[in-house]
Amino acid sequence: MKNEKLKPCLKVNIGGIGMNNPVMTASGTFGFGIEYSQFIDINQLGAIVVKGVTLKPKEGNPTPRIVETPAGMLNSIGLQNPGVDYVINNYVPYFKKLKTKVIVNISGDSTLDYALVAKKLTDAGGISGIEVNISCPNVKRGGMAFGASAKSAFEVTEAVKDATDLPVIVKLSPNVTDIAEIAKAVEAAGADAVSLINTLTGMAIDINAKKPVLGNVVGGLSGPTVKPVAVYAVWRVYKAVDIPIIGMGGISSAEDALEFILAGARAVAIGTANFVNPKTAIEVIEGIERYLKSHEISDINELVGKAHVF
Amino acid sequence: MTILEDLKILKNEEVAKNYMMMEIKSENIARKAVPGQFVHISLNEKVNGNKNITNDPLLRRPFSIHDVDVERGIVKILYKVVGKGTFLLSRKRANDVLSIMGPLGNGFAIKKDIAKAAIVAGGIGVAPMYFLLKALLKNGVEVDFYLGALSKSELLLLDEISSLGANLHIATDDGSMGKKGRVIDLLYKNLKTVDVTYTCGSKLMMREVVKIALAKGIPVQVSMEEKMACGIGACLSCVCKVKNNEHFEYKRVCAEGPVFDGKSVMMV
Ligand SMILES: Cc1cc2nc3c(=O)[nH]c(=O)nc-3n(C[C@H](O)[C@H](O)[C@H](O)COP(=O)(O)OP(=O)(O)OC[C@H]3O[C@@H](n4cnc5c(N)ncnc54)[C@H](O)[C@@H]3O)c2cc1C
Ligand SMILES: Cc1cc2nc3c(=O)[nH]c(=O)nc-3n(C[C@H](O)[C@H](O)[C@H](O)COP(=O)(O)O)c2cc1C
Ligand code: FES
Repeated sequence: MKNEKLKPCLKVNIGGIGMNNPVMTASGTFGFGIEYSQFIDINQLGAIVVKGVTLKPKEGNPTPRIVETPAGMLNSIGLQNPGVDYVINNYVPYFKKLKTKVIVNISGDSTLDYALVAKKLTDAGGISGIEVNISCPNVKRGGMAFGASAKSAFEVTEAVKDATDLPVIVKLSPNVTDIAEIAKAVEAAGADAVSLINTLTGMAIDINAKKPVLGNVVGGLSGPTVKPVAVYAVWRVYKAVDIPIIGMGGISSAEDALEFILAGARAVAIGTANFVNPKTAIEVIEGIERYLKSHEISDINELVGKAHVF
Repeated sequence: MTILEDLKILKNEEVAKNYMMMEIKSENIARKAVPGQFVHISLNEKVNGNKNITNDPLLRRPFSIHDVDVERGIVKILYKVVGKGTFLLSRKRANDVLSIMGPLGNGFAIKKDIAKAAIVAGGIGVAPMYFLLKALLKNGVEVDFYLGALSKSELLLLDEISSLGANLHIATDDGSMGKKGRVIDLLYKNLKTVDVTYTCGSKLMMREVVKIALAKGIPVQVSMEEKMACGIGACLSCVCKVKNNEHFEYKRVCAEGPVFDGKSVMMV
């Protein structure tokens, strides 16, 4: 540690959302925030992204919904959620009391659904941005179908942009031929930022029962095991677009987070690691700050994409 | 407030082949826990004392609280070695430290006005029932304890249960001890009018227990098990079906459970 006195600046701006630091939580892994407030001070986080919300309540997929894999897990929750009206009535009052930025992740069966949910949330107030999930591998209609082609990704993004004046983040799927092409399409449609990656489609088979382990047959892979794939996706997308990138996929330490930032992420999100250690996000913030000090970097923004030396 | 701490192991001993009893030091969990609640244990090792961890097995593992000693600040778990996580757990020694979260979930309801209760446990399902039994006996409840296992070698806690003063009914699949056959057959023949029945074991067993108890108009509480990730209601991994009018809804075993009303939980 050369410069003990240096107090590096961790503030970042993600498409108009000003955050005190670049560390967020990933949708679906952090409930509505309140669940984790018993372990950490949520207000220290750059932002929280809450569970995917749809227009109507969603029952979710049959069980088993998860299975552990080496250094990872498959999930097929199927976007179980109480619906946007319930969220507005029961959680938005809580969001309004938080000092951290709250971003709501939305999903839908149709472009219109996405727009309606975005509009309702915007009118309710208390949130700082909308993350559009066009990458859920666990629902039959919608979800990933929208993220699979540049055309539909463009259309959903445009519809949500028209429905809200809040910053719109589009969450991309790695289960596509060319993630950079989709990123360009949503940028062209007006997206203020992109977040990536969502889970990788996978499955596991119970050899004794001779059938798939998950009730939904397929699920999404997350956790440390996906990190190299995610870092590469951020790397590719950074070369392709100018809007800020929120990087995620297997981050469980500050070192992991710094890889994403160097690859081009302006912010990072902690997902599966919350299950393992609820204090991960806080430890990542502290670790990034220590790193900046020891590398004598005064502003986190200087580090974004720094690994692109080729 | 749920506790999330690195806690010291005081003891970790084999009590029968593949079954281990672990004692953990935690005044706070011991004081707060009620029967039926569980703790969520990480088996990740810290690398070089650093915050980085081994990541495999990744997720925490849930274990029922088997017993507590409030005075000495001890929490006990009783577990069966079935896979990677429980194998690693079985190799821990006294003075090793584990990251533990708890107590979690909603435990068994013990109404003030009950006089008689039945407990039905199968295999490792006996783990939470010992804590429950102690609480019931303390309240002056008379308890019939039905215990089933594959064979004598897997019947745990026989002496402990009878010395506490419960009426023990035993069944083993192979007939090596007690009645030969399933514990539910024993229950079917012997279940008296009690105020409440509590059960923990395989879904197959619990489904039958619910049928038998409800047929006699006895309320029944079941302790459910599902694969868990967060353990605190945030991820919706651990759900089970609970009747809701004509339909059902998915409830979280870690948050609304693990104990549910046998009348409404669907064991499919
Ligand atoms: C609320 C709750 C309370 C629990 N309390 C206890 C307890 O008090 N004592 C206890 O021993 N266990 C308890 N369990 C089960 C325990 O969590 C699992 O046995 C444990 O997670 C297995 O981890 P593993 O890594 O060893 O096995 P894994 O590697 O995850 O699985 C290995 C193999 O064992 C099978 N398996 C998993 N669980 C069981 C099981 N329970 N019985 C038989 N086979 C299984 C798996 O399907 C797989 O084939 C509880 C579970 C829940 C949800
Ligand atoms: C249990 C679970 C539920 C998830 N639910 C959602 C969701 O509702 N919406 C969404 O956009 N992503 C969801 N995700 C994906 C995560 O937000 C994240 O993109 C992914 O898990 C990769 O990050 P990680 O490896 O750090 O978990 C979910 C992931 C998990 C593990
Ligand atoms: S384990 Fe996450 S909701 Fe129960």
